[in-house]
Amino acid sequence: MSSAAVALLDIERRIALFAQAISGSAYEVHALESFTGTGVDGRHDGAMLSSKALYLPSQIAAHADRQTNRREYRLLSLHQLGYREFGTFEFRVAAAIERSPPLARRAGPAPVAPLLRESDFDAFYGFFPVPPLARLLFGLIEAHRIDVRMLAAYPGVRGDHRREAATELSRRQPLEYITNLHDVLEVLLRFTLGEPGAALIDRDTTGVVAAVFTLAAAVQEQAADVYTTTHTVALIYGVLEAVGLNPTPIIGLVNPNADAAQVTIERPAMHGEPPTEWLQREDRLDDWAEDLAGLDATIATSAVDAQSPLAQAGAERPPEIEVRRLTDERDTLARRIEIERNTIRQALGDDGKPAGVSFLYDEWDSHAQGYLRGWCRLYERRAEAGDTAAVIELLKRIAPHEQRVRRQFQQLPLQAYQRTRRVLDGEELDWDQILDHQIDRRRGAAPDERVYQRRDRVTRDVAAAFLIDLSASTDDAAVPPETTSRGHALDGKPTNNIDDDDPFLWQPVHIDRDEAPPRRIIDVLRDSIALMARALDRHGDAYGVYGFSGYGRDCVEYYVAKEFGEPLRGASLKALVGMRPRRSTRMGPAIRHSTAKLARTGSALKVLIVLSDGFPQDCDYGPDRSDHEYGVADTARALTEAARAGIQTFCVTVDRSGHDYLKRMCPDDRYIVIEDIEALPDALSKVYQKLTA
Amino acid sequence: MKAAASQQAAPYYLPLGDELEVFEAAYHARLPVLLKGPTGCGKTRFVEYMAWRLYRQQESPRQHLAEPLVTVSCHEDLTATDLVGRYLLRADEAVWMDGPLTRAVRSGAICYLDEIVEARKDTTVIIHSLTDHRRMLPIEKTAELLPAHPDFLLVISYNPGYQSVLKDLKPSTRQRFVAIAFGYPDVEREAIIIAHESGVDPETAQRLAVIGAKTRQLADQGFDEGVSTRLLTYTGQLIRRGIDPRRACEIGIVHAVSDDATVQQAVADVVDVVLP
Repeated sequence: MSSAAVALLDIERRIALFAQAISGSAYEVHALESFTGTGVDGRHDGAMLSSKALYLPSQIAAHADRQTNRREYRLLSLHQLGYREFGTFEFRVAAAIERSPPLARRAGPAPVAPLLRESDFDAFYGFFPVPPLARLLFGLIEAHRIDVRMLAAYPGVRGDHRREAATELSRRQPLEYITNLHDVLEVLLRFTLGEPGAALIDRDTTGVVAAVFTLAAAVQEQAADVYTTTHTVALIYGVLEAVGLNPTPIIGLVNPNADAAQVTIERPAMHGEPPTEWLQREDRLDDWAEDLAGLDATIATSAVDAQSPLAQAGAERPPEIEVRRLTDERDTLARRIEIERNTIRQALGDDGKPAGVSFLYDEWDSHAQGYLRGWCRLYERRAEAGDTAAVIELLKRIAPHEQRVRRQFQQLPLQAYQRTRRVLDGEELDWDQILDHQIDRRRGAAPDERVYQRRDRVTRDVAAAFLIDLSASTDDAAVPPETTSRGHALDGKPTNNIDDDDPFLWQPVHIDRDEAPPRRIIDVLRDSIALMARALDRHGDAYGVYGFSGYGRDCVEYYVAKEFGEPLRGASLKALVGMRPRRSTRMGPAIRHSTAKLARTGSALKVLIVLSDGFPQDCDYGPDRSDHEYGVADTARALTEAARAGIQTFCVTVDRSGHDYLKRMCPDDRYIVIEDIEALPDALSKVYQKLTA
Repeated sequence: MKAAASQQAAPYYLPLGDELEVFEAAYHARLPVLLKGPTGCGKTRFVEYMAWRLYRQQESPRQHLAEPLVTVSCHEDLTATDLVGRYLLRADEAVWMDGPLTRAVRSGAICYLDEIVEARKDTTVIIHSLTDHRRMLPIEKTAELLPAHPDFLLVISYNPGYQSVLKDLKPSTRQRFVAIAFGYPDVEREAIIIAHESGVDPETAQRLAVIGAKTRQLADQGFDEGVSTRLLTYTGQLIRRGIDPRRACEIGIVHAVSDDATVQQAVADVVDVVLP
């Protein structure tokens, strides 16, 4: 890689943020090589927009300096985002017909058939004898429209666009005469890239180029939208059709349309290859979802009406039958939406990874003793909300312990006042100083003017992040040591007789079945955090609650239950109870992400507490899946990075064999192994107090 | 802490909704008003404008009042004493000096406590008796129970964007006020405001407003609220005084909104593409 080359990896977050600012939506940024969709053929030097991602070349080295190469990334991104910003995917064929008389003539009087397994664009192309030619024309003219709109909205890229267009024009084969359909399309492309039209028209032997340019210029109007493009395509197609689609001198073909269908021209890299049809289908799903919601509302209303005796008496057909018909219609539509969504996902390479903002993090390769740059992709999203009944259950379970934990926190005063005497300005006069002042004045000495006293506030400035391991193993039963039967605490007492000083509750409060299901590790982790959170919420320290899991380096999941500064109320409590066991335990990126979050709080004292039930592991956490040392080393490195960023870290594990690996991950005084899982709430509270005292 | 000077000309304010009518109705009913909104969206300017409308228009019976608006910018060391008043030592005697709140209560001005949640908790307690049917200010040090002038109105503001448990209004305080919510204006109206306040041409103002709107779409990425109308206006003022627009945006926007280097680069990219 030359020194001027820019790797996508180096500017991935910058482009993702830029794309978010421009579009208002979070986009992942990926290298084109990583595209796994089945419905689109990308090109290595272009760009492509997908539902949630922007695909770009993994490296740009076309220019002699880094800045220009970086700006090319920006130009490629902006053009792709332009398709969404300037409404390409909002295309609906019915509206196109309404807006374009020549298109309406081609479509005929029959209403457009319901579109299944094809986009509105496919229906539009289908109005023409040679759909691929209509598609090619649309691609050229729509790219031009997007460029025009983009350059008007973002004039700062005009220079970059001019440069790239000139590079593209110089790269293309020279064209001495325009003699056939391919040539006409080629000069149309050149025209859209800014080559002077007059010079091209001079070389035309077909007689259509001037008319084609005049028609194509319609999309240069600022008010031009996607329907201007489709109308223009219909008109240009008509011009080409009038000369037999294959303008002279190609003769003697049996089927000129078949030949026209084969015509292709290479599109410029700066325009990329947006999967227009698939993205339109995706956009159309919103319409269908609205229809579905409308049907749901109608069914609800009809069901109520069906109960009315008046409806029973006066309806043409029984209301129950009408409700059944609507329900069938609704179910059919719901199935159709599901099938369409899955088809689109497959085509666009969306493998169902969590939606939301993603972040790239380095990983420490202990074998190579170096960082793997941008190795892990972490998706941050809100934890799924649990239901209200689960929140109530949780609050009931922790209620008996809240007072005790709260008392412990009272030893950490949130703020205190310190009286300062002899100050020039303050809340109250300091009478001792006034006396001295008067004495000095009367004896002719210079009096000390500091006659006030004030109360200065001393405030705790703490931010704490609790990071919970949501690996699948937290689904295991939480087995207390030396327990002879389920439902009894260490001392053998039934847990429903506990008082304030008993160990943490072993069973849920409401038990409707004969035997309660065993409490799982996740239940204890969640309850312990809830107890801490309730105490901290009253106390006033800033804190966040997060969970992590995932599967593979490209899918680390980071779940937000509560952000710093967010109150522990409805949404955050539901998100907390919604945290559930998921997949693997790739700790490194989750710790690095928490470190970044803590750093942004700007608090004087930052604390990261990691709660886990085992060693770090993932399907590709190191070259050998059975080698846990790699994950331990990366986690240790991530903890060291956090410490270097001024964060107090602490690991709490309920894995009784935790000493084996924790002593390699952190210093002795930075971890604790909880032998009795029910002691976790107290231990957590003590750890927190120790770290923040 | 400052007192607004007597103003004859109306301060510039572009209404975004029905806030003028709502505030006037609240004033005439003497209902305390809470203004909620992100930083730099025009809350303070709105109060200044309303003070002008209610006290300085020709038909106002309150025109005689020298100081119609008393503004206090609250901060974490602001105490109840700072608001109510204190004894000062003058020659051989201790002289009582009214604080800004007491001054407004006596004279019948509007008292505007800007960013009230920044102040110490004891300050919010002293306003309680002023904001219910009693309309009284207890002055502990002079043993005075001061009834509010009939024209007095208390207005507070706060920014829910960076609220935290530490800096949140207690329900007992919040529920004494009618609340008017503010947001940033849309691009067209923000451009009008920027052009008026900074003196830049309409096209530049439009570009700055677009930068503002785009940057706010990054609000969850390392800064709380995005660039404010005030910052956009400052940037416009720099441009008006001959600073290159990109440099002005770097000073006024890019470095002001975030300390995250990558966010700064992305915002700089937005500025670079939006400006000609």
